[in-house]
Amino acid sequence: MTRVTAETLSRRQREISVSEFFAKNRHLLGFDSLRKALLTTVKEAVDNSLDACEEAGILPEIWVELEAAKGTNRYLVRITDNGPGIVPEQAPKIFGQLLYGSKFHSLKQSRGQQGIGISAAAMYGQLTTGKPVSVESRTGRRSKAYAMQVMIDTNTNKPKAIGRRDLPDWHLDHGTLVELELEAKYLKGRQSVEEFLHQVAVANPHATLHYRSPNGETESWARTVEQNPTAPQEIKPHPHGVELGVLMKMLQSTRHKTVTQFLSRDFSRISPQLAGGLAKRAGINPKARPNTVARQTVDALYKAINDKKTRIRPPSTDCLSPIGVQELLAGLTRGVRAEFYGVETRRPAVYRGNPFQVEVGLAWGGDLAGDELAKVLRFANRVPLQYYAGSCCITKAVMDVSWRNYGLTQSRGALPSGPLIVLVHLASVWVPFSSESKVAVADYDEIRKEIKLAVQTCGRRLGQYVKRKARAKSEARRREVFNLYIEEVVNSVEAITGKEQKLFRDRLLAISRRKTELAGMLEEAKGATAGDDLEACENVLVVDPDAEPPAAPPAAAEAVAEGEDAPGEEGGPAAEGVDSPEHLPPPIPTEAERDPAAQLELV
Amino acid sequence: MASREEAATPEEERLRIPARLDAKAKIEHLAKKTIAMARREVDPYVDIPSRTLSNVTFSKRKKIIEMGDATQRRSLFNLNQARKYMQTLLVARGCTQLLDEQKTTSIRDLYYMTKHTLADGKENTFEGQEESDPIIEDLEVTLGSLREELHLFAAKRGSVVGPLTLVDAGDVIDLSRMGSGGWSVPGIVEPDTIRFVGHGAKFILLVEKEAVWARLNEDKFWKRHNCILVTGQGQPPRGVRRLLFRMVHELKLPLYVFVDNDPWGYYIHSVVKQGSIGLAFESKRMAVPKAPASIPPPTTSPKTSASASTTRTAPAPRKS
Repeated sequence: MTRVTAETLSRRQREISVSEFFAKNRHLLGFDSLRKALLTTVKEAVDNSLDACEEAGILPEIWVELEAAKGTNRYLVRITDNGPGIVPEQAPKIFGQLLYGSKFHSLKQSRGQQGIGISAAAMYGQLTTGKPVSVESRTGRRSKAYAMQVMIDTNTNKPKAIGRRDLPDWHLDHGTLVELELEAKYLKGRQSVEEFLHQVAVANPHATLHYRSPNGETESWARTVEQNPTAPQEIKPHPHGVELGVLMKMLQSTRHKTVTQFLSRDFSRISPQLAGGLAKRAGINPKARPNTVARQTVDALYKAINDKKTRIRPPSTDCLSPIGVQELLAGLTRGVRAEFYGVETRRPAVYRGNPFQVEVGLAWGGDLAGDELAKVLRFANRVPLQYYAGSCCITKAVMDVSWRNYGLTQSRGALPSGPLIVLVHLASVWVPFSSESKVAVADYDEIRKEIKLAVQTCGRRLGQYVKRKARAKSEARRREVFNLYIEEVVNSVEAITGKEQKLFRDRLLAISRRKTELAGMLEEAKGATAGDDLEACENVLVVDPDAEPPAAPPAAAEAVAEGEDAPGEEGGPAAEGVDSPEHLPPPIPTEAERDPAAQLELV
Repeated sequence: MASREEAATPEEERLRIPARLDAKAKIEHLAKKTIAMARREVDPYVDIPSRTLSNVTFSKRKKIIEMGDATQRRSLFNLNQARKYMQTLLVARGCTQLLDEQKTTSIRDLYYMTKHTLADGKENTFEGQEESDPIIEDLEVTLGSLREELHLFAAKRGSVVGPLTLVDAGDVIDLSRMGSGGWSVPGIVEPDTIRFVGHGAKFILLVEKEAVWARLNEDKFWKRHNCILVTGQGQPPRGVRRLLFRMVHELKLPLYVFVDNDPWGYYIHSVVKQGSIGLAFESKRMAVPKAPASIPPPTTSPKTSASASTTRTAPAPRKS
């Protein structure tokens, strides 16, 4: 046996392109099963569309169409948005090059982070069907729409544009259409495309979505909020969130001339004084050029930054864009028919130098099934997370809460059971996903604690409502019994005295009303919240469970029709959603209105 | 009505039912009280002398169980009492109807008279006679009117045979010529219905078991021993107990109680002697404190047939 020399080995060693790596490790990106591949593709495209629309300040309207393609297990996915469009020069890179994106280098809350998503989907399609991605786009009314196809060279991670041509007559003023063919499997139910879009609708009440399934079924979600969320601000990294290697890289590449300048201008929350102090403590000349700092000294600087004695203020949190209390309520009500909705937005907090913010929404009762485990809807930067629920920090935090305190049943170490949906939204400039396929949030103590606190706040309100409701129900039952018996008592007394006793009956009924006051309150103010604290709380919405389902906004139906064939200008008509103020509890009844006995006194 | 002696408030004083009134007037008083309470926005209630163990005492002097002064308030606007309150008034109404029409009926019939479905279509005013019977007793004690004053009687139970002649609703009946069935004791045995004419008996024997009574009747035990043979078919009903009381006092005869040697037997004996907790208010009209028991000794074979054991082991009654 001949000994293999280093030279022979070196001949075999060669660079691996990123795309080649991911072609072999597709599961890392969420393409491990046929069913998941379809969902991931839709998800990445919808994420991109929403991000693009919001950045451009356009109210998003998105069409998702699935079609069965020729051959077994092949589907055509077509996603159209009314976004700002893509400049033709950029399109190949966006769709055909992994790790190309606008978001990786900025610390800013956005759906996409790494610039992998849509190009990975394109590559998956290409690998399984051999078909390129078709792109159509138009950047504005005055520019021409174009179409092109993009192939990826998996060896070099370089895109190749084929057959670019102008489209004389495109159906939108601005927007982008992406069409991919891929090997996939379409199934309804849990973790399906439908469910995904449904959840997108809940977390993005400002977006209008249209969907057509491979079977030709259509569904639409009209927007219920007529305003884009406030655009998140980009921030500089916080020193506590930076690792040693990153710090070294930043020192090499900074454009600032001195270490002090570098520290105070490339990071947030470091003043020039603090920068000087840090440099001194690390034994660096504050005036030194950043790229001359030696490796060991960087180590010292890193230590100085993370020293417990070093006081650095937490990062500013205005960079976050939470969904918002009213918007979340609007989203929940359009997605879920429940009886009680409660929402809580926590104040921003920080993990590892990254600001984050937690929002929680609860929906209880109504059409929800009462005999099942509660459903947890997880969102990170408004994107629904659908896989690996068990290993997700969000699920764990929800299980940490003692739901029994709020009148629900819960087995040890499990989710509560009952007609409950728990929505958790984590907004952050950098969401710590546990893998590149962005399906579960990593378990950071700070995040878990914030989620738990928010869920508890909502849970308390729910518990209050559930208890009050039970009480009101029993009061109503009591009144029923009293009034039933009063009738018999009055009849008996009339028979005994031989006289009609109208006044007697009225008096007894008045006493009965007074005795069951709370039940009366519920009947008079149906649809309002029950309870003093809850009434004043804008975070809570109670819907009369017996009321008619909110009528589907007529505009939404039109939007579907138009969306299919010829979406109108500006990306279809602005659908008139269910106006959220309509859902607000009516004014609290005054004391006299609420108290029939008091009224009687007045008379 | 057993009323509370201690410091009655003026209001309670006004609500008390005057004893001098007749039953109909008492019921009307009750109804008017209820109206008055509603007018003053007071939850209507009835105070019912409580027929419970805690409200009875054994009078050592009289040797009978007597009812105390404790009352239980039953009010309309208490979910646990509302139903019973409503039933109390229904029964009162039923009695008024009987009194107005001058009819007498059984408590079972009153149950049917007052039973109907409530407006919700789910609930009945009474679900069974066992629900209505205690309410009638409640009304009796509350009004201080006996059942017969309310024109009610219980289902008749119990038989008598022996050397006794009486008038029952105008008919002269010779109880020594009653065949195998005996004379059945009506629910009401007050003097206006039942009058004793004459007798040739030396004592009265109350037998617990009807089968034993039938055996003794067939064997003409009462003829041989010159006694009035009575059975209450288990725990004797009010009619039988009242009849025993009257025979003891009016015919001046001693009473012996022949019961099984078991707890039920002892209890029956004690009720005849001292009265019961539930009807403590009637003790003075029904209890016979001087009524010795005649109890067969325990036998080794509890299965011994009634006929064999009774005829042979029944000891001759002793005078106490």
